[in-house]
Amino acid sequence: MENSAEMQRFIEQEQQKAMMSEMIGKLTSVCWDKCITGTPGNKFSSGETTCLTNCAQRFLDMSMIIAKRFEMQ
Amino acid sequence: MWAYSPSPPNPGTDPGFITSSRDAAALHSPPPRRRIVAAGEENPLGREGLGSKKGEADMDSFSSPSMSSSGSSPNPEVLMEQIKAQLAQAYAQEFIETVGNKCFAKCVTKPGSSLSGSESSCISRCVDRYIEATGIVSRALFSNTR
Repeated sequence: MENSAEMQRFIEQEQQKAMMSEMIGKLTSVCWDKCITGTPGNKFSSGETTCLTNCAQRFLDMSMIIAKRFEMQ
Repeated sequence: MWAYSPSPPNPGTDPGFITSSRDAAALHSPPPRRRIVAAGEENPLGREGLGSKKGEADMDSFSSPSMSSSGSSPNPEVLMEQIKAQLAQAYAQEFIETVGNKCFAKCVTKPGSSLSGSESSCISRCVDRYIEATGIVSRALFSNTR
């Protein structure tokens, strides 16, 4: 039925979006704790910005390593 | 009142869905619990903002005359809009909870009998910074995976 195929696609899309936003939320929380050590100011220092960016990207790198590790059982 | 419609960050297009602390404040709705919305509800966010202003009897604000009279299965588009709205609301509530925890930990180290001026301004900066951090992290993730 056309309706349920459309619904399937919609549900899959929304699941993807939800997984993505959960990951962003968790990552922001973790990286905030790692990188913003002092009291928040009126803007981020360049060090803090760099730290946040690095944190996110290194987390991705780590995820790949972990995924590969579990692939090669 | 406000035309902003909260939704989870769209990977390709908007790195941070909340762009100002005023947006974040406008998303706040009392009792943080997940609600099941009755089908047939049109534009639940409407002009009144998220959730029910009364803060209770959630189903009342979501009932709709068209649903009770039709009796057939709900229109898929309407249902999809409702689901998207609920997801957005759940995301916003979780975001606000996280921000609250982080900023309380950073700014209110010794709770006094009221929030001092420095604590208040710290909190307001903290919320802005956290929103900015969410944007930075989103952009870092999605420019990396391209």
